[in-house]
Amino acid sequence: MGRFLVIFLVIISLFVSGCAQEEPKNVVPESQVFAGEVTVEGTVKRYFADSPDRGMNMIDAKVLLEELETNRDQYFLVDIRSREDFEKGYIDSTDLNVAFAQVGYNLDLLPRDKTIVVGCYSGQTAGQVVAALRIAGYDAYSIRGGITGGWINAGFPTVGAPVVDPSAESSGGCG
Amino acid sequence: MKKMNRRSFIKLSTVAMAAASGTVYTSKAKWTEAASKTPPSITRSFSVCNSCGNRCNIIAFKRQGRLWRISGNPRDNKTGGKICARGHAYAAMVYDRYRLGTPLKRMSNGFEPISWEQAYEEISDKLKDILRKNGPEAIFWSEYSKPISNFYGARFMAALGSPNWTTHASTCFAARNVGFNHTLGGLPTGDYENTKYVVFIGRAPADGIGTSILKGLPMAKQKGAKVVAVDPRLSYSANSLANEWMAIRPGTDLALLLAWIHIMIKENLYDREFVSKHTVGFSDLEAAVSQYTPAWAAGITGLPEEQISRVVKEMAAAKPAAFVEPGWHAAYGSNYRNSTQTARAIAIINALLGNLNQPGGLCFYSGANLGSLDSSRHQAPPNSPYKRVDGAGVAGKYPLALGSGLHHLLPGLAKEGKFKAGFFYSINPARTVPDREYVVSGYKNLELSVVIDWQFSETAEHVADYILPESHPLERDGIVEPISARMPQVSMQSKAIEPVHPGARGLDRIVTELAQAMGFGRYFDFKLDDLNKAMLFPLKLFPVHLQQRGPQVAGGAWDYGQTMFRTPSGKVELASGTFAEHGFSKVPIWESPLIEPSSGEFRIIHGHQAYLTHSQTINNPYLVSIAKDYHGEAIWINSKKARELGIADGSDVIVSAKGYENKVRCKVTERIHPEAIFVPAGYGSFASKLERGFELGISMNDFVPHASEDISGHAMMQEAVVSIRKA
Repeated sequence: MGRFLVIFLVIISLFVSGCAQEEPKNVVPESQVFAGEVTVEGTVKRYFADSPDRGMNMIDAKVLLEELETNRDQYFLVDIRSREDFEKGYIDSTDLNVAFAQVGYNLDLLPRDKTIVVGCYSGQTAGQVVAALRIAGYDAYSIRGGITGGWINAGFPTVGAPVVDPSAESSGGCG
Repeated sequence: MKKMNRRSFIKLSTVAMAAASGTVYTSKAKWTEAASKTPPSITRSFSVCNSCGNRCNIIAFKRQGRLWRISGNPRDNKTGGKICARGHAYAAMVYDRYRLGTPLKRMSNGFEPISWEQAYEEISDKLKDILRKNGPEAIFWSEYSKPISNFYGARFMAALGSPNWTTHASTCFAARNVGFNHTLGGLPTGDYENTKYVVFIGRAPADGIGTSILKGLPMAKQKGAKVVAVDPRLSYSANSLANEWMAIRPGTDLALLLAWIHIMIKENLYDREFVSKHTVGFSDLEAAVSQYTPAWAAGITGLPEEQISRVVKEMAAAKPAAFVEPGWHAAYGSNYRNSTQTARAIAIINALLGNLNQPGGLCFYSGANLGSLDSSRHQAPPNSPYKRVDGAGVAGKYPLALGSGLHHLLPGLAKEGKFKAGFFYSINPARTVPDREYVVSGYKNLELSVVIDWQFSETAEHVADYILPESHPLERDGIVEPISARMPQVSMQSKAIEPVHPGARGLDRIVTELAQAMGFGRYFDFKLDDLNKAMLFPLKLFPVHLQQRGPQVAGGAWDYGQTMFRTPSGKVELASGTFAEHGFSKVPIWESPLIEPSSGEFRIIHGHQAYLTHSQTINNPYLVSIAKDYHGEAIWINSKKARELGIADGSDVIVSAKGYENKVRCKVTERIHPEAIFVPAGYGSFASKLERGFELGISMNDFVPHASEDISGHAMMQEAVVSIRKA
């Protein structure tokens, strides 16, 4: 788990040092980078640079619904809400329910050959999980608006007895 | 920011998948270090062995995409990570050239490959025709009991409206289960590692392989436990594990047990408090056994009276950390006319020892609390309105037989025209049920017989109209299955390798597609993964936990002390009201075996070997090599009898019974009762397509007549005698 701690520290340090900084001091000059070497910093840079083209790593509930109907095997759906809320109503195809704080201890359960879709309440915590997973090399997306705000409030099918919660409506969890 | 529609999402997702480069290293040095430590692409998967019914958890290692080796899984609470020769050799079956890769149809000149579509169409057309003409009662399912087919086979029969879902129980453990169910309300497990005294009645746990026994018993022995083997044969298990061998006359275990009960009561060696609080029927038992003195039992069993009395006293002195082991097929799973009452007597002795749910006694470990499919979302087929055609559970036939039926009766019922179609899943009755001629000629009356298996078998070769190839268990995920232990667990077969034969399919898929072809797809509107998720839901687990981490703890730890029993009275039934209601003796009383060998005849007894057991192992290259190298096929005969017959150790003999005879190698030994010959099970293959083991050794089933016992309905597989002569 040590290297993921390093990744998190790097992410945090980037936020702390301010996103607007033009030239972070600790970037290794190009000349010193081994050809093909994957560094955390390089990965973080690519994450930020590529995310806008990936729709900020979010998937619309409607797109997800269609995808789960047709390409179920390509996805791994993670619900990071509490077990209690999960049991009240969850997406039928859910592959794992694990609370946000426990995601790090369950990385061994996440497949590297599938697209991981993370859902939370409104999309905010899932967005953080997706950022960490992407930097760790996973192909991850969050459900826009969360499972509660995006999927359940859209009236898409769940198992259990979900309670529709209008307050969970969200603009898409951009944090 | 771009907002994505589905098309752009898919496009992007595909690109991202290609770009995802796996683990990130924080420096080149770390990558180099990691790379140098990584052997060439070895991955592991958690699965379950399918070599027999123990279902030991295994780890399958894959190297460069190919199955490399198999090991036990130390996190399996039942086995502790030990697997047997069969488990290791199981790896060879994956790449075996004898595997089936495409559906086959019997034609006049042999089998012809056909497509799955054609197979489904023809099978479903025929089934529909039979349903119309003969009704769903005319269809049966027969399986070697496995978790996947317990679900899919039973649901498929229910979908068709058939009551005839059947397992191999009646040629294996039916009498034991019926006896225990009607005494203790279920089948307990020995607390082997904490016991001080164990008596095995005919069971050979190192030959038939009970991995949990072999894990616990040596630990108990190190602490000074005594092990007694009651067996007409000093098996390899008894030779290595037992302190004392009671060389009993075959078929007379009940007499010994009745004498033990007699002594325990008469000499006040039983647990009076347990008996008064937690049992019913003591006075009936006491009255019934008063006649069974040690001297009487010595006359019937051939055992010394001193030994009979001493062993039960030693056992009682060690109570409650002492038990008579519940057995499996052993001496009374489905062997003699008196087997069901023998099982009852064993259950009763354990109750008298007060050992139930006590340290070192017999325990009803809790299993995992598994969920099921939500029937409001996945319509369950209704229970069949018809009675079982084999008579199991049917008044006037076999009312006390197990719900998994009496599969050895099916060929006769097919001959009578009561069955028109049958499915055989991973079961080989043509070789494993007594009387080959009865079985094969009976089943040939079926208008449709479908074998689902991964290799040929006698049943496939001589009975099947269609053979549907099943993929190897290491090539697919399985169904969630509980591991019953002091700390209960759940586990699952996980896909370890890509299919070697893409044309083979998992049973879940085969049944689902057949049901769809039959127009019953509504009962199978889910995938195996959905079923597994539903089963795991109460445990807050997902299939991925079992796939990535192997067996998982399921529920709280079990503890000693529970005294509720699942019988009608809620207590141990020393006298069974249910037995009395159906006209059977409510307490065990002596009944001799049905057939006694006369002069010059031998009772034919059988058992497993550590390396070759079920008929499916007969074609395994490694296991058959061991069998051939060590002459595992040899039958055992007592030295004194051999001398009388002029038979030398290692020579061939002719075994004959009622018009059938066969030649086989003979092992001459002091280790078998003079009245018996021992024939190892699993030999005598007559499936010519299984070339490695074809015609190696003999099978007891060629000498044992078709028969059924009255109470549990089992096949009485040791009620047979043979003659032996020099070849």
